[in-house]
Amino acid sequence: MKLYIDVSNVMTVNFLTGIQRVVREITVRLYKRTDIETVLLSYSNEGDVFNIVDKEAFLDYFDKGAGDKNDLINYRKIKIEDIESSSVFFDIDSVWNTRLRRSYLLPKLKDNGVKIAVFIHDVLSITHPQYSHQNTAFFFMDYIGAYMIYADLIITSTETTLEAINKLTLDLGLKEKKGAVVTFGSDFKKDEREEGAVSPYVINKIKRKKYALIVGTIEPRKNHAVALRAFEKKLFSRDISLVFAGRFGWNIEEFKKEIENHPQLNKKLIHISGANDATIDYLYKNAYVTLFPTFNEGFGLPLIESIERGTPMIASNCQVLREIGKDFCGYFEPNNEDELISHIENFLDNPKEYQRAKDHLKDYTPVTWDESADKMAKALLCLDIRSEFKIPKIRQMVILSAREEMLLETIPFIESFMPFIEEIVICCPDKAVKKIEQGYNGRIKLSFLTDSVVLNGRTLPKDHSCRNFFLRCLAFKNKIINDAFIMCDDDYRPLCPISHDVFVQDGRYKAYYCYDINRWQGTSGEPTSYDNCMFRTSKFLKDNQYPQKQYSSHMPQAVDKRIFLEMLDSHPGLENTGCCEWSTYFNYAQFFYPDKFEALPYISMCWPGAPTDWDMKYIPQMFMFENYYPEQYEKGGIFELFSTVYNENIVNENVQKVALYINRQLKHEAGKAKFDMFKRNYVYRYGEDPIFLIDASEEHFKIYLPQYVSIDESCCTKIRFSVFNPDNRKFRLEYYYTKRNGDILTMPDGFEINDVKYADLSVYGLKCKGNYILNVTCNDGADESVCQCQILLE
Amino acid sequence: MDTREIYGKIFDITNNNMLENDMELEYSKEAFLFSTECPVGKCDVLDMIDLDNMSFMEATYAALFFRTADPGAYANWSKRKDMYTLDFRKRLINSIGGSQEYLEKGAVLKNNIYSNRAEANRPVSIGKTSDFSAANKAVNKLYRIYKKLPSPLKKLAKKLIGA
Repeated sequence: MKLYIDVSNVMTVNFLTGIQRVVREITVRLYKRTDIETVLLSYSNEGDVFNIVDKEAFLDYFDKGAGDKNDLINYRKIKIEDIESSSVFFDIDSVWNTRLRRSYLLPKLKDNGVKIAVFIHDVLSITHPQYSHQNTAFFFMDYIGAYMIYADLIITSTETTLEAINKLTLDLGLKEKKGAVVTFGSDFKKDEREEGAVSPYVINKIKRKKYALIVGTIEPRKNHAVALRAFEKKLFSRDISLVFAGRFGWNIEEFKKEIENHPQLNKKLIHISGANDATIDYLYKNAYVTLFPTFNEGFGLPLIESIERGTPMIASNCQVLREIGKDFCGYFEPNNEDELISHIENFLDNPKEYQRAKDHLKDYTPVTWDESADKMAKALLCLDIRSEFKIPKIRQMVILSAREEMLLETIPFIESFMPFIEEIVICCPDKAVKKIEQGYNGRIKLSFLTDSVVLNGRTLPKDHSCRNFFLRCLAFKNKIINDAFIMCDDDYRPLCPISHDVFVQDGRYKAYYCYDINRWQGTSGEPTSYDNCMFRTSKFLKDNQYPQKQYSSHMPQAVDKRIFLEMLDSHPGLENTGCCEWSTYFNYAQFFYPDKFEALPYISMCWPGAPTDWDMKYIPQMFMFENYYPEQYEKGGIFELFSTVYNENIVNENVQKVALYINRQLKHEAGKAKFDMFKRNYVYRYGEDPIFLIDASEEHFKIYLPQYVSIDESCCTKIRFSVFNPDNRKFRLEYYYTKRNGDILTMPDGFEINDVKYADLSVYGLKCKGNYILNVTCNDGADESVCQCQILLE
Repeated sequence: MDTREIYGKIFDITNNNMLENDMELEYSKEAFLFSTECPVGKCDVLDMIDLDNMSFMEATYAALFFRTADPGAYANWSKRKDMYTLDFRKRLINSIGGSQEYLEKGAVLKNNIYSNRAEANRPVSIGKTSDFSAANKAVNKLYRIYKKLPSPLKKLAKKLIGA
């Protein structure tokens, strides 16, 4: 299992107490395991990128106490979107303090099919926010909200905290998450850089003193005040001092002044700040009693640390401390100094009672950090799903078609280049069967699932995408379909010999994606049937927290019928929703059977058909299939000179076609790169993104353009306009060029806009460099506005 | 699942717990909800259009500075909260955008209609046209006629000239 842990906060803080100590102890041990490949990450401000922490340097620094913290970050980086779908992302640090909010990160990971686990130390900033800094509460709400929504596993250190989280889940109306409780260890690791370095100052301060010790940051929640009150009331007059070992925290200014001006300071009241582990260990071992008067805790490490060192502990009676301390501690009401006084005086006045309490501590069985980390690993490994079913060899292809000629032209490509295909099951209208049977005479067996058989009296939806999905969902239930087959459309043509490995390798199906479906914007202006299908599918995937990759890559893909039918059973009525069969199936399969699927960028040519259709997010590294468009072979089309049907020379032709396509795509990408460079330079110069905005909220359109724009003179550049159109006004967005003297150079070009948030205006270069004026207009018949900016074509 | 609703409930639960202790969260629910939807490192001014002035301020701080406003800044903007919306936001955005912290933290404003550089429907100054040729005049005249044509005729005109 691959495990990613964000340790950004540990990398930046200079102290190792509380949460940071836990992170250190656990991550060092997880790092050393052989059954888990752990990758530690530190967020980079370069945006959506993590730095990878150097493993050896990390172990040297945090485990052996050697080396420099600055050496931990190496130059290797990983983008958030590249975190593998079969991996687990695990948060254990106080990441709400970092800039990478979990409300932003977790949905991205979820969209990628990454499993998400979290160790939640406590939810006190939600249940007891009065003890938190307002800033902490703000970002903690974001953190907890994100994990309540997206976590696959929640780990806590106590049953009490897990119960609090489950209650919160219920209050939010969500389903309870898988949970586990992992108790913290309590074996200190001496900081080897300071071997034997107990602070002489501290030794001197507490020499020959009997003292009550409180370890931990001084802040309102920890309630040091009740101990001070108790000592002021009575205990300073007894033979016992009070020692606070911890730095001053947040919102404690008044109490801090009280201590700094206290008459007993440095006499019977000692404050030690910044003590190292060796000193803390010394303080515990030499204390008469330790106190833990906190109002609430997530765990309470000082309680365990004290018990393990044989020092009696008196703690507040909150639920968490009772769970951890059991009968090894005395308990008191945290607002009641008299109860605290009573406990301490009981020890002071009854030495036998004190010794009995001390002896009882020997019965305590501490948990080590090794045991703690081991239990943590076991909980995380439960997320590593291993499925049992076997993938059979694929021999069958299933094609949906209502175009006999198109299908008959495609089958020879399959016959020639995919020798492992022995049978094609054709889902088609009844009237198409005869023509197809008569038109093909090759080696592949043709079987038919006609509409009348598949529909069996049901009505076919009118919309193209809805119809395809409906038909496929019904057809795949038929016994004629094998457990594993290649799903294909009638216009997907292999370009070269295709082996079985292209679809199944090393016991895993290959799943080819082309986009992130939740980012699909569709055609600018009026959405097509395909666009609406993508929007519906994205909603279905989001509602079910499935990944959000777009698998309608316009190429044949291997499908497991058992998983497809399981998906339909899990979502009754799905076939009527008009979703995309490719993206629903593959994202569902990735989610439930991640070990059986390998997600890869697609390998089909002519998707998009033209570079201006939509901008590629994942660039194919090779082309093995063609998404056939007849118009590209017509006069003026990119493949004008090539054959539309299979012939002896087809391999050579395909090589040339691929070269032409790549060349065209490269030119487009180069143009896009120029525009991206302009945007980056604009941000660098002005500190903000260049603004392309249409405000249609008032009677008169407002168009905003940046000071200047720079695009490639020879290509088409898509400029994305944000559209603020609360009343869904229909209008036309156009552009044209003029010279600086006002002479018009081009006719207006554009499209209708209707109820969209973004509009991609395809601005064509003039094929000649120079400085011109870009005019952008909006017109709804009643009102017309124009905005101009300088445009540099280079 | 409506994630906005979930985050909203978290805010309500936390704020209620504060109220039980005679305290209150110092920022609005709207500012918090905006923060949960805002990409890290980018702040789209358009997405904050509907916020009131103080929520706008709180949301901007969280998005650009990755923290809530400190008490001094909060008090400062509080005094101006009843200003006309456009004036308040221009002042806030230009103050924040010009700060050292904004440069250091590296977050970027998007669709910044409150920027000193932003002007709607801006014309670029055009030089004199004293040397218009007859052909240019004709093109301009034809274009003015074209603009008044209904859509189907516009499409036909473009087809005829091969545009």
